[in-house]
Amino acid sequence: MNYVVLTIFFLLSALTLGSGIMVVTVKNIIHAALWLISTFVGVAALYMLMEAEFLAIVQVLVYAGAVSILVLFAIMLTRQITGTGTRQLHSRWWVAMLTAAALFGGVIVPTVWQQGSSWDKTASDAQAILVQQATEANGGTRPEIIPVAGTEELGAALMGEYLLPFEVVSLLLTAALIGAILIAFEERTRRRRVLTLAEELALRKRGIVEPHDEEGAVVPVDAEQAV
Amino acid sequence: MPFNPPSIDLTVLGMPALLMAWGMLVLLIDLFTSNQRVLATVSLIGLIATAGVGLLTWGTQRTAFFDMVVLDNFGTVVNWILLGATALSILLALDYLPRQNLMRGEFYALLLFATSGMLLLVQANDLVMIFIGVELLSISLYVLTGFAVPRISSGEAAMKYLLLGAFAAGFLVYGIALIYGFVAANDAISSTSLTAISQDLAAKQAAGIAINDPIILTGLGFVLIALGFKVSMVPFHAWTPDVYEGAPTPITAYMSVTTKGAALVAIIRLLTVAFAALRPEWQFIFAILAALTMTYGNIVAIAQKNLKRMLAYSSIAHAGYMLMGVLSASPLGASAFVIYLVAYALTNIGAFAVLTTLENRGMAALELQDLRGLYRRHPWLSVAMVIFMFSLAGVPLTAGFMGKFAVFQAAWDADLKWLVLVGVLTSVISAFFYLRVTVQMFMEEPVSAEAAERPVFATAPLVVGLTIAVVGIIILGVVPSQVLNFVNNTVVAAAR
Repeated sequence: MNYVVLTIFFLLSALTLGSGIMVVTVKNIIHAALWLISTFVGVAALYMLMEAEFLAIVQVLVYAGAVSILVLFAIMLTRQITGTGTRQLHSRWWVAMLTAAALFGGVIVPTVWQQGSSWDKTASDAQAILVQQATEANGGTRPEIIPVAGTEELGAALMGEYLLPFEVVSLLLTAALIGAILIAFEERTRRRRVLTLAEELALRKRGIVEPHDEEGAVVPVDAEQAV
Repeated sequence: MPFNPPSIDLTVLGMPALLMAWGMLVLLIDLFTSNQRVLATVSLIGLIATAGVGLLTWGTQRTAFFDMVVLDNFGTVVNWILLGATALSILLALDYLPRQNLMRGEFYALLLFATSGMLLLVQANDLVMIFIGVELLSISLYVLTGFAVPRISSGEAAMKYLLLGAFAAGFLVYGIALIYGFVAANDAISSTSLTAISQDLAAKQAAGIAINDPIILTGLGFVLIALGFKVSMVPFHAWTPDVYEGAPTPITAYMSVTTKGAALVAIIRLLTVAFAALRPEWQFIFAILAALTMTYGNIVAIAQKNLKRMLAYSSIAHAGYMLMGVLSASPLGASAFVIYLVAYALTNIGAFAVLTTLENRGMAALELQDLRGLYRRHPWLSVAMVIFMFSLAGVPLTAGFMGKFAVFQAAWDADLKWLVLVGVLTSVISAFFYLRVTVQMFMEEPVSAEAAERPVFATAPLVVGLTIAVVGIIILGVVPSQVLNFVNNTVVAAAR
């Protein structure tokens, strides 16, 4: 790796790590969510530096785009925690830090130990090695299915080996979409307050027979008073 | 790079593919009509057509899509049972939905999607397909569980089911990843296919490599936890009573039968095709879990006052009996499982059909005492309920007896004699709370004058459904030999 790449790498790492630290230290939780987006973008840029363009684009789409918006929505919907004075440090923060460090070490140490000479390869180098290994294992001819490594293989696998799961997942998403619409756009006017199981049980225990309207539905108002 | 498109083999995929397309059709028709009967009829025709596809492809045995799905007679027979159970559930829902003010056309489409996910799960021969089948049926069922939105208990049930189900899905993916990591890549077929796993395990065994490696055992355990959750096997059963109680009654009937059936077939394929070499590792643990499931379900059911909760615990116990057939891991065990599934499907859906006829609008809980004096209000209904309760308890001359007899025989042949003993003892315990229901109906007076005059909604579709269930139970109980021979021949012939 030449010095230009190294410089860019360290700048991007500083951006990512710096934003990461801001995420866990700022007092305003909305600001924390915004810093999180910056972290995601930094990681995407690092992927780009490693020539993993597809991963970078997915990172931006899924994390910087969707996940962070979801986080912001969640903050807005839970009104109690929009306060700006949130204290982020737990009294046992060092336990969390040690755990994180141990997990990171558990991943990075064996990697450097075993792949010491080749762990700084780019994605295209790694793919070439994979294809070469698979060809050797297959007795000199390139096998049909090669372990998925890059965009090209991913595309071929989705349209080849994994065509059926790929198609069925689209039906699964349709079902999920219908379900979401069904739950979200249920006409509010049709919702009537009906007793929960616990309330109904409490009434029955006290020997009160629930009042019904002419359609047979439980009339809740009196019942609530009785509970 | 060279790209080999897969050969599209629609014969193998016929049943699930047709049902998926039919679900879309129902969704489209829903745009133009709000008539529930039209949608239900179209759905029923779709189920019959799908069963017909099974008739056309009968006898074919092959895999397709890089060994991801398999078509065999065993799968087709189970598919027919699932389709029949879905049809019965639609008959239950037809008048229940308008009565409860839950008329939404998406109900039938989601029901068909869930069923197509189950058919796919039954025919899945690959861990990825198992995952997608499980998710397709689960997501549809989460929504259907929460379908009775005006009732808070329904939303509560859907939420509980969704959260715990998402957790189970995590286990499934993690387990699949661990198995994928252990099994060597296969060039000809998908590396996660059950055949590829068994070939790799056999190759490793031949090369003298230990195959009871912690990685693959953990992976297998995680996958079985996730599938055991769907079957509601103890100790992964905690969601069952709450979800069954809160869900609309036809949906409870539907999922208490079909989800268990489909997930158990996936377990059978997983254990006998892929992990047959690890049989000493899983069989004993599974036997203990089956014994726990039968004991826990039947004992806790005694304490239940609510009918839906009682049937939920009884369904946990029945999952334990079906597991006995599954863990025998023999052709006999598989055919015993199929017979038990037929008997259980007819009986359980029938019992829930009786509850459906009694459930008034807005009534969230149906208590045991609500059945008091039902004999006076509706004699035929109470006679049907007695037959269902006898069949659930496994009284001779009912289908339930044949089912229990078959699984006990399979477990005995698999040298799990102590498990048969547990099964017989728990059946005796279960007779207590099943017979208590009949006592309530025939020998007790109604709690109040108002309760004695509550309407019984035994409408035409429900009566048809009840009649099918009763006739099926009696035929299977009195003259079982035809059915037994048919199932034995097909399943034993299909066993590889």
